Amino acid sequence: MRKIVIGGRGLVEGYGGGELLVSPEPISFYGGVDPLTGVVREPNHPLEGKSIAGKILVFPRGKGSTVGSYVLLSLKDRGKAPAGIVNIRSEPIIIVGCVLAEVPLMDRPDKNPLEVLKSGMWGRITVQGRKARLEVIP
Amino acid sequence: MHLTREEEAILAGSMGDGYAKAMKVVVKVAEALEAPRLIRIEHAHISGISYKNIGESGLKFLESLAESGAKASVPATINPAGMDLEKWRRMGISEEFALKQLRVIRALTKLGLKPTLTCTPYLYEKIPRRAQVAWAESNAVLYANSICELYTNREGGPLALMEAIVGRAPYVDYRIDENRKPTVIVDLRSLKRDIRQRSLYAAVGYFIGRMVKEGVPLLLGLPPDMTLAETKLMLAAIGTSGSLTMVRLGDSDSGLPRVRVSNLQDIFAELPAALSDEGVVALGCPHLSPGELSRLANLASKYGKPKRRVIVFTARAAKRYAPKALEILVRQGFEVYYDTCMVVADLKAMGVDEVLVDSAKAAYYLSTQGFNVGLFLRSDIKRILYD
Repeated sequence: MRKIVIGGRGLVEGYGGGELLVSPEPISFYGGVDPLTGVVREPNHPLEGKSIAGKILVFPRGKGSTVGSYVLLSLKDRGKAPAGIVNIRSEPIIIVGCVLAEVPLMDRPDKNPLEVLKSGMWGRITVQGRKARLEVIP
Repeated sequence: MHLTREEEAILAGSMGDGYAKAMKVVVKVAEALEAPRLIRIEHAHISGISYKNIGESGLKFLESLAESGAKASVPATINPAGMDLEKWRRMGISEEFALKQLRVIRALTKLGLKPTLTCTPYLYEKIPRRAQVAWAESNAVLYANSICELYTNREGGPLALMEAIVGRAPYVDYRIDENRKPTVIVDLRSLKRDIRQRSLYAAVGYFIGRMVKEGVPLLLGLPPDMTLAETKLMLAAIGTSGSLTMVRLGDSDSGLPRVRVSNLQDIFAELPAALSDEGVVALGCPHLSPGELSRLANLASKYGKPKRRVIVFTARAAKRYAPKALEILVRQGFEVYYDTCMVVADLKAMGVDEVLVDSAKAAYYLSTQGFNVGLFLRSDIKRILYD
């Protein structure tokens, strides 16, 4: 199987590698993710019970309370932040959280990641300026 | 995106690390939203104040930002905290929580924010008409845009704080006149009498938020004598059930697409809690205004102590405008708290399990916190408290 390369818009600079965790549903960080452990605890969420710590987290966009930005910061403080985030379209909760927690963030991927990516694949995200790239191996 | 020389300099650190970080956040958001530039704001209102919500990391972040010497560049106010700053012991708050909450307030004050601790800044703040502002707290955002002719997007708590520090916000969406024109008509005319007689403002608002997902609805058929209190109850409900940023109130028709609302059953079916008359009554989501406090005090003067426990939440500033009313309420056994509200405080610590509210916003958030919630209509308040 060939490596998958997805380009996109760089929003927060940095790089990181890790296992992919893909959610077809938006994520609410406040209330939806445990700020101490990084485990998704929103009832009936596709990622319920899974930890986002160290993962490259792929989901359409953020939702819910804007205090969610501080949850990303809390995860960073405890070494439980995701290694990188890929959104279809980022909104301010995720952008502010990623700037404060220094988590690389990209959006507007040139292929639909929800169709071509699966949890359990391994990836590396690189964001330099406006350019972003996600390289994924099975 | 275009940045002025001054903005570039702040971003590069000319005013220090705190300002640079704040500018970085604002610029990143502006870029993502494809704003052509930033615009100066004249006021900011910040949410995310309760220690219960922002936690240890939020507290540390605010303290380090304050330590960096950053300060709000514009007048700015803050949302309710997790406790009454004076009567927290009576609320069952632990000493540990209280100390953390006071540290949050101290950091925010050091950042130059006025500790108003209310979600109704529009009642007490003096802000020029048609000003660009940066408000978080959805009920305040809807009120600002729809009633006060202020210009703001739904900024979110941490973002509004950064915007307050740099005195600027991304120039997009509802900051531009063109995007504030009505896009859809919500025709409530056939319900006009019911809305007025049964005080269905919260219920109708919640329904509108569910139905209209985007744009600016023009609401036709609301009673022309709708009070400030009723307006704020309705707008808070609209802000809770959806992501709308503003509405327009009108009486004239136009050629826009139209949604007709004529069935009360549909409206009640969408509510976040069922109508009920059991439980501890909690009032003040949004914070009760001086006018509402005085109407409540009139009831209390006439009928005395209510037959059940009633907890009232309002702004400390209300004390200046309605001191007599507040005295009467306290004398008649109403539990009055300032600086906090039923959504961000810990009602469980106050011994509440089953709660009865007239606010669709409160009903929604208290349900998500696991409370047994019932709704009552504002027009039934005398019956709920005394019959």
